[in-house]
Amino acid sequence: MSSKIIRDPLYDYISIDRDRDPWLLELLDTPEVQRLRRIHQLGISYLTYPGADHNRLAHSLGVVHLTQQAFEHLARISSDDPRIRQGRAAVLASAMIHDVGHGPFSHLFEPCLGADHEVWSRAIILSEESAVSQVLTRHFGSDFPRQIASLIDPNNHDQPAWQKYLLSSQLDMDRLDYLRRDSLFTGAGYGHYDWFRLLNTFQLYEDDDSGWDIVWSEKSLLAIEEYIYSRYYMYQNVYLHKTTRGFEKMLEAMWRRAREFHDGGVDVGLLPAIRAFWDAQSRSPRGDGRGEATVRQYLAIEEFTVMSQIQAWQGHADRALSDLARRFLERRRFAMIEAPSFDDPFAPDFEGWEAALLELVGDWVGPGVPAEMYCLRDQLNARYSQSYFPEKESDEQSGKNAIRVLVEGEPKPVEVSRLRPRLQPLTQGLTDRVRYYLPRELKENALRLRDEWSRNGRSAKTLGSLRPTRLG
Amino acid sequence: MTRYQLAKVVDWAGTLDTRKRMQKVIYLLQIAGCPLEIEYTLHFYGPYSQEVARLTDDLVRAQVLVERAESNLVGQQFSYQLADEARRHFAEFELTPRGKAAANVLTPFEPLARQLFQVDLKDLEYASTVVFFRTQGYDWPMAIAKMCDFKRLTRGHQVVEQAEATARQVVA
Repeated sequence: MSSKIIRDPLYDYISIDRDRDPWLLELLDTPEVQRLRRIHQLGISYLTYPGADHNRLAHSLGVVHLTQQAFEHLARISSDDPRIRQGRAAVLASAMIHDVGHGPFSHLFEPCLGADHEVWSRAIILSEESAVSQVLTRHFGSDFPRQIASLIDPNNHDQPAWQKYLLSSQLDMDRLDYLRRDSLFTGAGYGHYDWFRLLNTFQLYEDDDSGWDIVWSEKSLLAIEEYIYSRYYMYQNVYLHKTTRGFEKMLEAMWRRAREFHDGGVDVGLLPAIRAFWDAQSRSPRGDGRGEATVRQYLAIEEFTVMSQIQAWQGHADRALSDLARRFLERRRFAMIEAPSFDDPFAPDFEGWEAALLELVGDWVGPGVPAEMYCLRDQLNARYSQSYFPEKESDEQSGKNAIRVLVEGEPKPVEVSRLRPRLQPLTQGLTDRVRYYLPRELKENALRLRDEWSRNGRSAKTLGSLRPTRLG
Repeated sequence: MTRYQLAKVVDWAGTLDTRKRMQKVIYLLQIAGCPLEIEYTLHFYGPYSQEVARLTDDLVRAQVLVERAESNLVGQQFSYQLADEARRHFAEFELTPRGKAAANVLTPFEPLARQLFQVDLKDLEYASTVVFFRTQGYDWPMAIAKMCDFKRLTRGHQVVEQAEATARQVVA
């Protein structure tokens, strides 16, 4: 047996068997997978954590490594059930290419380009032009790319549930890798848990209705608890860090401005790759946002393309575009303020408050620049910012929306926070949270306006008379 | 979806039994044209929205809804009512211009919601799953076939026919 050995800071060695899985090495060597080397796993978190320079390829290999181990465990506990053997290649392939559709800077740049990485992942896998698709077809037949695309599609259930849950659920191979990897590279020091135990104690639960589901044994309880707390700390300290979020919103505002100009026929000096993508995307728009853009056009946009574009905008005639480009490259951040507290339990008056805040900012930016460019709203969707949110009604639970544990004497697996009530403060639903980023010169007045608004709502006075020096 | 909209659906029901019914009724109302702007994904037990689940818990914490839990053979189930104090605020809010505007958007969907509250829970699950496949572009026969494969049901069975009838009623 000969293996390809890859050094990895988390697992020491990642090994791929050349005799058993030669196709996996071919997949690794495709241009689409190699491109993942040039995508930051944590977007622009390096502006907060200088060490966060790790990339999507290392993460994808980590997910492959954990998936290999998960299948060894599955083979043991299922007495080498043929369903496990038959499912192995599909899940391993998905592990390797689940992120292949990510664009520059991972998630954060999606609104800037108007692209959804899941849509593009499926498009790349299904495109006959892609090397990824050709490798999969050559080794497993022409239907195999469709199987992989359906495995990573959250709304497609053509493939068995247990395969999908290994890749995407509340406790999956993807999360098991990225939490520890992100912790290591940021140096944040959180994100530690007994991953080995989690990987070697899950069970296959035969549900009468849905076939196999992934559950854990009671001896995993502490490790699950540790994992949920790790996620919580990572969200608080890394993923939702206010500095990172502020620069993300700045990027969005900058690119939204450029797109509006471009769509309106104003020249913003777009680089050819970005121009070609946006033009094709705008033609005959489709529901999934791809328009007529091809896989080749999408893959041509790299992080260095984006950075070159921002660099070019520093000298652009539009005051706001050039100013935000310079601020981003020089890492000059905006100040953050939280939204006011609203008394109304049914319909918090964000519209009224934001109109008042925009008036304050508008006085500062002056004519010709939309105030929205300097008053950046950040809605932290609870869905993406909570470490673990289980569905609590048993009849609606699956591996997708709950981590469940087999308990002696219970007829069905039990959701973990019912067994560990101390998890409940973390698991009970958070609501969306709204923050605003604006120039530091405006922070003090914005805070005063917020206090006034919290006390008096729409009858609050605006503070337009308190004008600091204007922009530019 | 706003807090007001979810509270209004519960108010129509009086007592809304089970989170599952909450999920499926709101999904079907949205499909029928009610502008709730909620993202649903397909789970094994039908279309499911984490946003609806969160908002429900949020309203319980805000003491707008009263939650009751019951343990039975299925496991834990929950039911919801509008809290007495919240009902007073609710009425006051609906007298304001913003409240009136919000109520006007929902009112046309009240008869459908009331009908769906009476539908058997399994029927709701199957019907909303058929509708989900319809939204993915499958025609009626294919959507029903997909639902049967997914839920391990036999085509032509009474529950399948009932689910189709409910689904067609909503989509119409």
